[in-house]
Amino acid sequence: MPDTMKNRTPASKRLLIAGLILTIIFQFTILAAEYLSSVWPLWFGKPIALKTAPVDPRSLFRGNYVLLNYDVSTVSKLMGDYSFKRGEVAYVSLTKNDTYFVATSLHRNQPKSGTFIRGRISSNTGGSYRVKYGIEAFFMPKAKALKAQKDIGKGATAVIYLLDNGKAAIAELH
Amino acid sequence: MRLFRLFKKDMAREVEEWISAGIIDITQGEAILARYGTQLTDARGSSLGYYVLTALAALFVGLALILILSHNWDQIPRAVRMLGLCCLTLSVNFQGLRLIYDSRNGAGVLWLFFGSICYGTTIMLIGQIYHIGEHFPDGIFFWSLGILPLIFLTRSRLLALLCLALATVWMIVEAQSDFFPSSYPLFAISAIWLAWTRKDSALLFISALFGMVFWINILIAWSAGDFYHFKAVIDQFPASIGCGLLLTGFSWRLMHSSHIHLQNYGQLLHLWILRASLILLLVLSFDSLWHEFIRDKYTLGLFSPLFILVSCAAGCFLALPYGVNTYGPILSNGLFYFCAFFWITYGSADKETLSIATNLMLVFTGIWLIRRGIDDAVTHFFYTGVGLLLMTAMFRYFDLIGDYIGGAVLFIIAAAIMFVAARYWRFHIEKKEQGDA
Repeated sequence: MPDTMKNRTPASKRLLIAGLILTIIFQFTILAAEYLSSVWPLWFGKPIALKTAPVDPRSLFRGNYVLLNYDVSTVSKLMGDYSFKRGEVAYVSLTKNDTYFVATSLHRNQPKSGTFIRGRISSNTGGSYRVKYGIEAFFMPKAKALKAQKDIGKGATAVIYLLDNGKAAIAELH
Repeated sequence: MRLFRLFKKDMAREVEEWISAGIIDITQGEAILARYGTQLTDARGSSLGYYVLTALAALFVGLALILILSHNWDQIPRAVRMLGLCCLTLSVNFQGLRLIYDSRNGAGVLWLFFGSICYGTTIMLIGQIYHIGEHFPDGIFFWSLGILPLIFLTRSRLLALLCLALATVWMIVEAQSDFFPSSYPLFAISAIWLAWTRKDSALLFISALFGMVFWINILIAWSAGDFYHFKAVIDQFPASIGCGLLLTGFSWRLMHSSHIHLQNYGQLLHLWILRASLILLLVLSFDSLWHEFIRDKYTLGLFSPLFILVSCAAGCFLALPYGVNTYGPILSNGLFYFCAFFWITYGSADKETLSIATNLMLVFTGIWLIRRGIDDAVTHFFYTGVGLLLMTAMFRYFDLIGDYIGGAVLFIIAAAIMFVAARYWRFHIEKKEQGDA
């Protein structure tokens, strides 16, 4: 029992209540920031299509999802203008090739023009980089996730929304 | 310091029986129990059981909520799901706030605890709805961060434990994702602050301290990987040993504190460090681990043995006022590990010599524990000492050092040390008896 809260004066009790209200506001500010950063690309971003292949794991807190491996998740080191280390932020320039967007170059700084996506280097072994864009998970009910993995097999299209600063959000998978 | 001081309820029940039997009166009973920070009413049960079970029930409901969310009800519109959970979080937290306003603090904290779980669930729901796959440990971090102010406002152990547990999970998954959990000390220090000021949560205190030692290990691995990835290095061993020596000195300071609850913290801390140090000695008694230590590359160089030496000096300084039995083990262990790691870093160390030295350390430690167990009537020291010597014998019988003859020589040396110790002991007892006569 929190005995230390007992015997408070009215003034300190008011302070405690104000503190608790501020904490609740703080929690909801975090939730609002998370929500807005998630929906912002969907509201104001430009849609592009990327080729992907899904597999089905389970997240500890969020349930089942299909893990998406995009064609642009692997970028040749020859496309880079810098020798990236693991964990560093990178910008991948994209060009539309028939249906899908494909990677054309890899930059350390945000490109001034063109379509590009912001990611982070997850590994740099061999002749290519693995890049994560924060759009690698698509959450769905377990049965649907398993069915999606079976139906889609090795090829699927993900509709991604991109903001001007390269931040991406996934909207659809088919 | 005796281990039984940690069993307060048992002690209170025992004293109550003495009072019933007329051996002592109530005033004496209360006076005896006050020495250990407890009272007669503790023997008759308290509201703690109700509080713990209700908190566990809230935790179970929270886990159920997370699993219900994990089912992913995609047929329900996003806005409905999100607003539903936001409203639940808000109403549960405000119920907690209302109860605290009405001075029903215990119930209020329980509602805030459930509200904190609802808040974390909402973070996860947003992540699920909008398919946020980017760096999922951030979700756990913001969950823990959102609860952190409640530690200072409510000073509740329950909320602090939830916050520390989440921060520790975050530290592990953040490191697994190849990012350094730089903010962990903020959570650990907040938990230590609460445990220190409230003086009644040894679990929180010990967990936060061990969490910090784990974080230091992660920091060393991060620095070894040039601060952009983790590289497990051998320097983590000397660093952890140094922390252990320092904490041992600190535990003696706590055990001699004027505050009964701080004495309990010190007692528990000392007990866990003793266990960890014995396990480490047993593991190091095999030459294969020393072989790894010798073969591996040291990132911090001379810093590692020097850290042991400095920590040993600091630990001894803290324990110095309380006699040789307190600083003696810190000094002997500190010097042993300093010499071993200095030799490894700057000489052509031999794994068998180091292994033999570790086995002799085990024998000396066993004898010291038995002696303290009998001389100072500390029962758990006595049995730990006996158990340690028997385990050393068993390990060395199955895992020979230097073939049969080498193993036999080691057993003979150990037996000789024990025989000399026994004779020395008897000599002292006889001398004392003569003095008494």
